[in-house]
Amino acid sequence: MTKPSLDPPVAARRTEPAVSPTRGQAGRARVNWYVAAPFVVLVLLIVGFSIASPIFFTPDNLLNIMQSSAVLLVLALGTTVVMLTGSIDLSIGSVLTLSAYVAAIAAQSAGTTAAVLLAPLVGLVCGALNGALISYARLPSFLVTLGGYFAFDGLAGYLSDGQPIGLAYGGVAEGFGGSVGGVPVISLWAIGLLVLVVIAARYTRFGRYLYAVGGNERTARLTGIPVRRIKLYVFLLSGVLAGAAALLQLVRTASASPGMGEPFLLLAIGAVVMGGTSLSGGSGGPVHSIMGVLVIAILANGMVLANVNPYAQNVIIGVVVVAAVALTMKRTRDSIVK
Amino acid sequence: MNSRHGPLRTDLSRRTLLRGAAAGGLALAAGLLTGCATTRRSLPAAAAGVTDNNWKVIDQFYTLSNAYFQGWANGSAQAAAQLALHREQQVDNMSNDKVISVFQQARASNTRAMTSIVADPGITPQVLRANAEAGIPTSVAWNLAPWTTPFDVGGTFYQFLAGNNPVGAERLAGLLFEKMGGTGKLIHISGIPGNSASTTRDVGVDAALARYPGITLVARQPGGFDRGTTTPVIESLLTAHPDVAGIFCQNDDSALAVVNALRSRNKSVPVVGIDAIPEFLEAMQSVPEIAFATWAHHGAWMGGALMVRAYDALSGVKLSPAERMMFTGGFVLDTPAAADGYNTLMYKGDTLPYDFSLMSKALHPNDWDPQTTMKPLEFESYFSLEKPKPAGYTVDPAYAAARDGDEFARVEAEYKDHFRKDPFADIRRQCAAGGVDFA
Repeated sequence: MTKPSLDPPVAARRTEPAVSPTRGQAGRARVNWYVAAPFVVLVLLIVGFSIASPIFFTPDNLLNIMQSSAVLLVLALGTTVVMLTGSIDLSIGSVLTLSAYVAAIAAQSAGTTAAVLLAPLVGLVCGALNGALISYARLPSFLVTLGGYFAFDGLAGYLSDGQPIGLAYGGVAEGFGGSVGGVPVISLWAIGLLVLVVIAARYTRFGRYLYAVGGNERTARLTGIPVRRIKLYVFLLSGVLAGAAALLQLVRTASASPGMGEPFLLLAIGAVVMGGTSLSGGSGGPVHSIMGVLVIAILANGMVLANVNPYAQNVIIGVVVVAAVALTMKRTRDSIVK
Repeated sequence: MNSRHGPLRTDLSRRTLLRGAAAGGLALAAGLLTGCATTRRSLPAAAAGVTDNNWKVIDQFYTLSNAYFQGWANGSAQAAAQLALHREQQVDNMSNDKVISVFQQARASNTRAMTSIVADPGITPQVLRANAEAGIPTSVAWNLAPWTTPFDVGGTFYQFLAGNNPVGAERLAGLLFEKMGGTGKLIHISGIPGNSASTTRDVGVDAALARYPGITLVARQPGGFDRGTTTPVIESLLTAHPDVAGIFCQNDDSALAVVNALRSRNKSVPVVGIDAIPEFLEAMQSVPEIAFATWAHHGAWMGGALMVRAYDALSGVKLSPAERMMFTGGFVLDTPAAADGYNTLMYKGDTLPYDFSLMSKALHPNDWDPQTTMKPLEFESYFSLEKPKPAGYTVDPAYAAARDGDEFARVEAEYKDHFRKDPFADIRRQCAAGGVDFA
């Protein structure tokens, strides 16, 4: 088969509105602003919370923020990859719950190694189911993963009879818990996965294909990119990352419990969009998503330290999310301003 | 050979793939349904003197995903079996639409009575009035929209039962403060902002704080009654207040997250929770220096007692105004031995330690036994904790007469006198603070 002759990112870029020569400088400034905006939001939050609480900008608390970002970061990486292709995965929270339950059951009956292997494996199987239906049955990702959202969560409940399953101290908890040089081990795992996904997205053909498929799927197909296979891989990756996140959350809370993944779904999507990855695909990336994850983690941590009224906390989160998206979103692309 | 038609390649059409996936999905669903239909615990036979009147009773509650409601379902099923009631379980998963649908369809499905707990008390006036129109007697537990009472809805709203949150939380907090030596910093992990259980438990903690001026509340943040939500909150708070001396959690699920966070930091700070779920009871045995105490208020009793109320309502038993809204009993477990005894009795046995038929006034008009402490609930002060009395609200004259006379005291004494069979007598003796039952 002939290899595609067109560089996929070029195909992706061609879907962007052309910047006229006279508007080139302003356009570049706007692009730079989109990249810088999440940093600005982050810095504003850090300064604000440092003033509100003397504890906030201490090494111990920064490690806290790192630890509390780990699970969300891993899920956001999977979500980023899916969203780069213009799809969405609504099942990540339920995959996390199911994977955590299977790992917890395995940890009880077959030991640490089985748990460590099974969590990502369950995620992989869930991702394969999603990916096969989306890629080869050509069903919309929104509906397929909405089905997965219910089905995987229900399966977790069925396996566990709705009961939390505790994790014995030692074993998995020991392998993934604790800290190395003061840095929480679960954060190190999350950083390791981040590095792998960044390399895959930026320096491999697979990564370039992601942007091409998200930029314009039809053009990508015409240039010879195996769009179906890329979509399948994307959901496989999302599933594996949700399984890995399950392992980290399992260690963090020392138990698998019903609905444990559900709160992460909207947070992960929100973090990715806040970071600047477009819901319609083709722009953004995993590095951008770090900013979104940190914004959410810092907000949660800072408001607890500042003893903000619980009702006001939700208002503040809502305002910051909208403000961050308003600053980072490329509104020149009509398809994402609907 | 063309690689597209190699030996390992199968060309599935989209239609074939969809058909296969649909068939597989349906087979999986059918398998799960078959599995779900299997009863996991054995049910007792009908009690002596009980005849099968073909009475269908719907037991509606909002989740099966925690030990309290699994106990509830178990108690309800065992009571229904003893009373020869045809129990239909409806779990709404916190969906108001499903609750409304269950209530609306009750009359059409020949339901004779209902037991209910809704996650969102705001819909209780609507669904209770629907059952009043349908003439279906209904008993409700725990969550009720403020200022919605059996006296306002009418005779089909048979009874409201609830644990005494302010008193339970105050007693538990008092024990914690004593353990702290009456001084030091306290972190309070509350529940869900606006939730009635959370609000009324806050009231109890505040009352205890007023009695112990040496205790300083340094943080009160919601944990959502959930270990996942509590984990980042307590991690932040432990960093902010490393010298905390005690932590009060609004339920055991949150308390487990706190225990876990303390263990990972090698800190030993006493923690209390509410509900007496198996995992916290096990933590009380494995790390008693951290997992200190919990308030046991028996989900199995509540589920079973409501089913008994359905039987009594259908048998024509009338309740006095003082009995229409009542607090139900519980006690604080505060030693590893008591935690072990409770865990074994309530969660590990094949049957529950209650005789539900003995709770029925219809079956035992003279020797009925609630098997726990119960006392009349004075709803004006109870609802005022959440919402001021609406302008123009009129208290039912029969209730007002009972409240102003000696009816409340008489009913409390009567229930105390009838409480003879105590399933927890041995466990109470193992509690350091005496394990006294209170409502």
